[in-house]
Formats: sequence, structure tokens, C-alpha cells
Amino acid sequence: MPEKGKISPRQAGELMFITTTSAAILLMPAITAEAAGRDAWLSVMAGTMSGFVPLAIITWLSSRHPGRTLFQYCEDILGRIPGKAVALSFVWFFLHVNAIIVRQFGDFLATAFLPETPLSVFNFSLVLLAALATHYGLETIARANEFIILLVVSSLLTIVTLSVVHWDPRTFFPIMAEGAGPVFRGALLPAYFSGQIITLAVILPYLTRPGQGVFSGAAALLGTVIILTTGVIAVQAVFGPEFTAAMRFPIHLFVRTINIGDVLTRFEPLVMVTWVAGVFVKASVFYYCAALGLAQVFGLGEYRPLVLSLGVIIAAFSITLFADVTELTFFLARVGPFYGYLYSLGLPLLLLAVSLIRGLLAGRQEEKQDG
Amino acid sequence: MGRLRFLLPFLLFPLLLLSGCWSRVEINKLAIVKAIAIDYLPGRRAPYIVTLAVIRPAAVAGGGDAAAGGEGGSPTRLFTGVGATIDLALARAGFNISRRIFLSHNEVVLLGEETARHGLHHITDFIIRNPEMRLTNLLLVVPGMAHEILAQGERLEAGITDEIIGLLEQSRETSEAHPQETFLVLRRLSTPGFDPHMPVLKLGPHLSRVIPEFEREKRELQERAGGSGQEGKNGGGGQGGGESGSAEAAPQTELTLAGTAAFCGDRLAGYLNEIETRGFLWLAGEMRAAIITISDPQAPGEKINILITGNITKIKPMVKEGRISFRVEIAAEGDLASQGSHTNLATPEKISGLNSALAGAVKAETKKALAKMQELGTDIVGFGAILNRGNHKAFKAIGDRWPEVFREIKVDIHVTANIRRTGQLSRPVRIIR
Repeated sequence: MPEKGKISPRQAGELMFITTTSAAILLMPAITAEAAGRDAWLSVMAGTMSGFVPLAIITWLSSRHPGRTLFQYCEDILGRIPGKAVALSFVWFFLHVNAIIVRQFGDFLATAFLPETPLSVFNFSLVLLAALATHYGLETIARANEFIILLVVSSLLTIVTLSVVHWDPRTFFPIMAEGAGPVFRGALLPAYFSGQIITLAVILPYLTRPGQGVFSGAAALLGTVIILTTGVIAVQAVFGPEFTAAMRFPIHLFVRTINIGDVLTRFEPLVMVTWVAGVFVKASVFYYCAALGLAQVFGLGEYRPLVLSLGVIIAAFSITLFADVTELTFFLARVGPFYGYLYSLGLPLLLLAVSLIRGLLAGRQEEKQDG
Repeated sequence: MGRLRFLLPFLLFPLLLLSGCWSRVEINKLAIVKAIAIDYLPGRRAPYIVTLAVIRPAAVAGGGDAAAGGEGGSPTRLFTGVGATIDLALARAGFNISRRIFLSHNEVVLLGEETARHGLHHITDFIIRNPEMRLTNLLLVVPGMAHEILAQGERLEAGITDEIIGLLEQSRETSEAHPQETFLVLRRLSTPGFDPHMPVLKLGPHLSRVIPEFEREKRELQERAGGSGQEGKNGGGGQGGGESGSAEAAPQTELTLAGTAAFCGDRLAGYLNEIETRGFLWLAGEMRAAIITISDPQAPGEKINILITGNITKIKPMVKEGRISFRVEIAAEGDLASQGSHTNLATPEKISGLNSALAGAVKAETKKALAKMQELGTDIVGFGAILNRGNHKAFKAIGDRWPEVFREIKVDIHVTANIRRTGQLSRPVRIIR
């Protein structure tokens, strides 16, 4: 077995929480506001809640195949060759999404803080750091995250609290004036982000009590709903929906409006800390899933030799996937969600269906043999 | 140990790269901009004039006293650039500056009248996109040319920018204007049925130069100064007036923050004067403190000053058979600040009489403001947005025609006033000979 460490259900929940929030908080307010206008917060709430569906599927699958990761039960369910193919496509998904995460990270830092630094500097250093974390294993990532989660949550809450003086609740009314259509369209992206809970399917077997994984996931999703909805509400209450939609990274400009008595001001470093630390954990989780997956698909006893070479692929993709920040947001707004659903909902559903049918057939065969 | 020796070069190598910042700029290579004035000259190929108020390094380095001492002159220096766009003009201004322009500490953006008429969009787009500019920059409109304001000498503060910021902060308390940060302007700009507004910063000749109106204005001003003197609890009206009267060496011009520039969409439509601004603040529910003078119902010719302490405004949209009207309910609260007559006003009957007189005064101000807004066609209170919230269908049916509809809209204003306290006196002191 390539992974020897074990993490507690609480640590798993924290990992999932950071995975579903950290990248989302920065880009999402603008994209959901573009689609849903005033009702963006409803979109975020509903969209993130939808993450409970993949969570239910993967925990069910995991309970049917105890001790096996996503990649392993792909083979158990679909047979050797098709199973390996599906598992490999999952590896590709984790790799690809990781490259997108790294690119978002680089683009944000280049836009907001360090416009003269080449993108590769941010991307390569993040990949290198994530590679190191992956090399040391799941337990290390989880433990690092225990500290980082405090940083992320407390800084976000601080920012939101300090902005309350600028809030204008009138920006939210009338609610659902255009019907449910825009809310639904706006929910696509949050659903994509919360669908990333699929990484839990890889981690579940390494929990000290795998049966409690479902609670970890549920707690993580609930936390995500609260944090993301609060974030979107705060941004919209300060800027109004139209202005929010026009922005590239609303949370960043949002923080720049905080000014309490000329003393409590300039909180941008907090956003940077949140973003860098959170994205580091998220990238590490995806990196880890990709590396472990590749090792398990090819039956290697150890995933560590793969880490660096995968890193090269991620780093290269993170630069070459998108020509500019416009392509990145276009992909996230239009293509990303559907691509994500294929892996967070489509394939897991297929796996579950096949697994259930096989279980039924096997049950009948047993009956026949018994009878 | 062998492993460590192998790793050592790799560990030491980053030191070469990390020991210095890549593209650092030392603080003594920065031209720290405190205020920007943007003027627009229509009809020219390079219409934008951008003037930067840059902190003079020597003034800062020499310590606060030297800067305020006046000997070294103003602590800010002005740099101007002309260009076809704001960015170009800013870059041109940079040609004259020996340092890198640094906008992160900019606090005020002054817009010349023509700039505001040409369109706010050009300004806000520049401010949002610029990585150094902050959305908390305060926006102001200057009738005439904005850069002339920056060329003024400071009075109390260490620089003209501090002087302007002080005026703005003060106006939040005194309700003579309504300061707007850039993001607030943008929030209004991007809300349907809502037009933005900004305070007006004027450069006028000193009162002593405006001879015909001088006497009257001075009397009025003293009355107001007297009122606010009592607000401070320990000063008589006469004392405050006396101080302002004995100001030494009157300057050529006076910097005044008063009134409101009202926009229609992103273009300047016109100005609301001080009284209309107050009426607007009543409608917006943003009234903080102001002196309202009413005639004494008992003693004609005498005045009573009310210090306003707060207000609550509720606006309800009414749609009947396709006709849209609004019902505005304003609840005003105030204290009796001073009175001219000798009658004891602090009885329930007389106070209720005063209440209705105050309500009448507030209503008159509000009506003036509303008439001006409708004349200009600027919905700076956001009646359209209120209609949108209250009756989305009706607002949607109007669609793009809201500015025209707003001009003709009927607004019922109902004011209730409450005078809560009478200051340190329960009745006027009897003058006995």
C-alpha cells in the first residue's frame, strides 16, 4: 500500500473544507454575480449544497468497498481494463484541475500584488511546495492544514466583520425577481467547486475511522456553505451585484475598501495569506490524489517517485493551458462546471450503478448456488 | 553528514536570489501622491489635464514642525501632465517628476466640472484598474478647474490635501455635504434607478471681498457659528462669532465644501446648493447634525434655532392604475439650540407648535431638493431603486425610461418633527432691570 499514514476524521474534514473553499472564494463572487445578479448568494448556497450528492455517492461506494480508494474500486467495479481507464481519467482530472488551481494562484498574485514578476515564479514555487508536501504524505498535509485552516478562517471572518459598516442590505432586493433561472445558472460554478469533495474518495480509506468520513465531508460542506455564502453576501453588500460581476477578484478589491478610522486599513496581506496558504493545501490535496492514483493504477508500491515528474507536468500545464486570465475565467465560467460534474457526479454515479447491479447479480448467483 | 554536504549547495543557492527583492523601489525613490485633480478641456486633442499633489520629501524629512512652520513653503508640490487619456496625462506628469509616481496613498480625486460632464466612467475605470489606486478614494466635483484648488495655500492643516480631507470628515458631522468613496459611487452607478452624487468643493473669494452680500452673509454665518458653539455645550453664540470675526489677515480666497453635484448616469447634471443638499439628505435619511432656523410662532421676527440630531426616512412606492407615486415619511429629531424671544417655549403646547413649525421647515427644504432633482432629472435618492425593490414589475415596465418618468413623478412628503430637549436651559433667563 503506497500510503502508510492515517488521518483522523476531523483532519479529513478540515482538508475537504479548505479544498472546497480556498480557490472558490476569490473568483466565485464575480462569476456567480455575472450569472445570478442580486441572487448570487442564493446561487452560492444552493450550488454548494449540491456537493452533498457526490458526497453521498462516494461514501456509499466507499462503504461497499471498504479500505479501497477511488482508483482501486474503479477496477473492482468495472473490471481490470475499463476500470484502469476510468481511474486514469480520474488521475488526469486531478492533474488538470491542479494545473488550473496553480494558474489561478499565479494570475491572482500577478494581477493584484506583483505585476512585474513572471507567472512562472508563482506557479513553479507553488508546485514545488506542493510536491514537497505530497512527498511527505497525507498525514503531513493534514497536519499543516490544521494550522492553515485557523489562518484562513480567522482572516476571512476578520475581513467580513470589518466590512460591515459599508454594507447596504438593499443590494439584495428584490429577491428572485427574474425567477429561478439566473439562480440556477449562477449555481453551476459553486456546484463545481463543492463537487471537488470527490477528493474525499481517495482519502477515505486512510481515515482512522473510515465510517465517519461521511460526517467529515458533511461538516466540510456545511462550513463551505457558510463561508462562501458569507463572503459573497459581504462582497455584494459593499459593491452591489453589477459592480461585483465586473471585477476580476472581488474579494481583493473588497478588502481594499476596509477603513476603520484610518487605523484598521490595508488588509490586503490577509487576503494574500489566505489565498497562498489555502491554495497551497488545495493544490497539495489534488497533487497527492493524482500521484497516489497513478501509483495505484499501475500497481506501484510507492507513489513518491512519481511526485516530481507529475510536478513538471502540472507546472507546464499551469503555464500553457490558458493564454491569459480571460481564457481562464471563461473556462471556469462556461466549461469548467460541466467538466467537473462528469467527474464529481457522472462517473461516480456510473460506478455506483454498476456496483449495485453487480451486487444484485452476485446476490442472485449466491441464491442460486444456495438453492 | 555526507547527505548534508550534498544538500548544502542547494540550500545555499537560493540565498543568491532571495537576499534582495527583485523589483524593489526604495521609499526615497517614490513620489507619494496625496491628491489628484483631473480636468477636461473639451474640443482639444489632448483634453485631460492631470495634476498631482506630491509630498515634498524635504518637508517630511525635516519633521512636522518645519513643515508647518511655513518658512519652507507648502509641504506638497504640484506636477501636471496633459494627455488624450487620463493614463497618458498621468504618464506625462511623470516626465516632470524625478521619482516614480506612487498612488497607493492617494486619498482624494478632484474632478473638474467638465471632467464630470464628460463622464465618470473614464475616471472610475482608471481608479479600479490601477493596482495602486484604492476604492476608498474620495471623489469631489469642483465647479470650474480642479487643479486650481490644489494650488491653494493650506489654512490649518499641514497641506492642502489634509485641508480637503478635514473638510470632508467634518461635513459628515455637519450635513453640509455627503462625502462619497469611489466604491459607493460605483455601487450607485451600477444600480438601476439610482444616480450618484458627490460633494462640491468650491473656491470662492473671501467674504470680505463680496461687498453687497457680505454683511448679510456674515450675520447668517455668525448665527450658524453661534448655534454650533452651543452644540459644544460651553460656549455662547457671541463668543464663537467674535472669534471668527477677529481672524487675522484675511486670505484672497476661501475653500468651501458645500452642496452636492448630482449626476445623471455618469454625467454631471447640475448642482444642489447647501439648502437643497440638506433636503436631499433628509430624503436619503442621512441627516446627522444641522441647524435649522424657524420663525418663532409667538414672537414674529424672532428666530428659533433647532439643532437636528437625527432622522429616519421611509419611502414607499405606490402604484395605482399604472401611475407611480411615492410616499415619503420623514421623522426628524432635534434639540432647541437657541431662541431669540423671551417667551418660555418649554411647555408641551408650545413645543408641539414648534414641532409642526420645524416639520414645515424640513418639508420646505425637502421639496426644494426634490424640485431641483426632478428639474435636473437625477435620481440621487434612488426612488427608482426603491420602486424596483418594492414593485419590481412596475419598474421593469418602465425600463429605460426611468429618468424621464422620474421628472414627472409625484412624491407625497410627510414630516413629523420632535424636539426632544432644550439644552442647558429650561427657559430663557429673564432679563430684569
